Amino acid sequence: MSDSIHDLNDVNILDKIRCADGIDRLKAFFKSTLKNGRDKAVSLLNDEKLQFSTLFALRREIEESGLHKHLNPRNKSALQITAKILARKPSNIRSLPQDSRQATHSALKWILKTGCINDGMDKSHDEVIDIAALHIIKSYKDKTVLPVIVNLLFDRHCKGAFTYDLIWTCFESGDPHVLYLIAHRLLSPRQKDYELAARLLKFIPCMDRSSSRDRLQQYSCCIRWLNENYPFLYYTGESLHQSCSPIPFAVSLEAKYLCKAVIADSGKLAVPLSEDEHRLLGTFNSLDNYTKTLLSNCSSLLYRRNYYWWHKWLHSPIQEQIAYAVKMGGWTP
Amino acid sequence: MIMISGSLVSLDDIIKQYQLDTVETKIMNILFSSNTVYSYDSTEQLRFEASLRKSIIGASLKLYRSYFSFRTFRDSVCNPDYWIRTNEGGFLLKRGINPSDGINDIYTNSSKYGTECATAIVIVFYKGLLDILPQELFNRLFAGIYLMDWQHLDSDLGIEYYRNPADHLPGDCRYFKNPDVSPETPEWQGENTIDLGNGTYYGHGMGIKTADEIIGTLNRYRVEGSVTSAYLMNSATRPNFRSLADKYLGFGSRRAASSLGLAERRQNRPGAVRPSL
Repeated sequence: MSDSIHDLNDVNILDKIRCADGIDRLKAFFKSTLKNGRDKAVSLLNDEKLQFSTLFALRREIEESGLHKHLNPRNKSALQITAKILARKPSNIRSLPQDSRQATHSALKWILKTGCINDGMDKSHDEVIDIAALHIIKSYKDKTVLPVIVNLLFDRHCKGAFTYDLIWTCFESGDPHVLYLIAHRLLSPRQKDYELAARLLKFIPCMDRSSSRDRLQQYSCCIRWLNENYPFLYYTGESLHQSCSPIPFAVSLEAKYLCKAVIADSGKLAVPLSEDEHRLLGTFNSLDNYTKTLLSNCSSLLYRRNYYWWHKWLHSPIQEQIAYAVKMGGWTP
Repeated sequence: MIMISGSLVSLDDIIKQYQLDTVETKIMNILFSSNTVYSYDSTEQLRFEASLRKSIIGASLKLYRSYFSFRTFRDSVCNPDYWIRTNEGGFLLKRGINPSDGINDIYTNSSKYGTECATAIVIVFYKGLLDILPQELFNRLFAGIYLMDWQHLDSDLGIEYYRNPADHLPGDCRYFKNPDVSPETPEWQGENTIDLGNGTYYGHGMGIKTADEIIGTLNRYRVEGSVTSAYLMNSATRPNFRSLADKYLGFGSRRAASSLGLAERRQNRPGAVRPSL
């Protein structure tokens, strides 16, 4: 509670007016501040506590009054990004010089983190936030913002607002950690959170099998599956844009069989294989998909239980491996 | 190969029984020459699939020739007399409106509509069905249509996504993926198209193009300097033809056969007995 009182006192006056009195009053206040002296107006805009939504709301006033050149790099970059997004012009981030690249990255994170507080302010505002999130994930491969994006996604869904691009962004991160962030929403008291989480995680085998009446059971089987398969999960690129039943993340059966982690966004094994491992995979890949799944599940389980037995099993003839896996129950997670 | 009621049949058997046009013949040729066995309960079921595929192609061409525009989900538009535009950019059929009227309006008042390619393909599937099913059956099956990409599809449509089908057939929905799309234009992350069966594809916002032309267009929306090209995926998205055929054939078999032209063709076969009226 004391934190929020502190935060309120610490809020930029422009943000305060926008939140309390609306955008028209904000614009009127800004114009009158500008009349009384440009320095004050510039210093309010350049305040590090300013939220993106206020800059966004005042972008025309800033342009008309020629204040742009007095803005700090964060604001200049944010306005440039906004203009390009709304004009649907490419930002060409990859070809920016290193300094500008870093400045753009910081500005994008500021847009997302402070803009999401005022999500729903305006359709264009929300579009800029969505594309900023996509840039951070796709152009900068920065996964640290995933919790912010997931929060924004679920809040939007609860409000019945536009979620399509955010869902795609979450999966485009290619980071299976996002599945944990989504899975936690299965236990949310908000029914709509649960519904969205269950829909996005529908591709996890146990989610189909377990009853939606017992959310705890559903959550627990989902987390168990993730824990079991996390090192072997890779991003397939499938989305709702192309399929009614996308499988955005899949288990690399080869990796699971050898108990070696994969690179999540390519599905390739993270470390080079030895000659012996190549030989093992050669035999493994000659099997049908069902048997490969059976063996990879068995391998992963043995590896965690007893490394010695796992190693012995893995180097036994393939028919013995299969017989043992079947004896274990042919368990499919 | 085609198996009807458990027995392999020859292409000649089918050709003798029905007058097939170019598209239907092409479909039959692919099915017959495949190494995969395609099983049907009856020749009518098989004929229904060929007719529906042809109708889907027809519905694609009609949509292409209309004023239906390309818009992102954020900016999608629809005729409010028939549809409610939802916040996620989908179109929900208004209460009291017949599904058939809703779908037909997209074609007749096409300038009032605009959305992305995935929704356009779903519209094409519905229209393809509407053009061959009795209106009464269509309205019964698809009450409460919600048009929004591949989500919220009517279960009676039975849409299925095949990751690696043995064959690709005219009327299939094929996906061109653009993995390095520019973040400013996420709508070009890929293109859903209908295989028109003549080496070209219909994609909403693209028009009718060859695979190379579609790939070339998608590549223009990649991030600057990208060396990762868009490509045609091996997958196919299809309605459940057999299940729809059963619903169709079960809906007053005489009317059904008549609207497909099956009854007349059967009667014209040598030795066919004309039923008394």
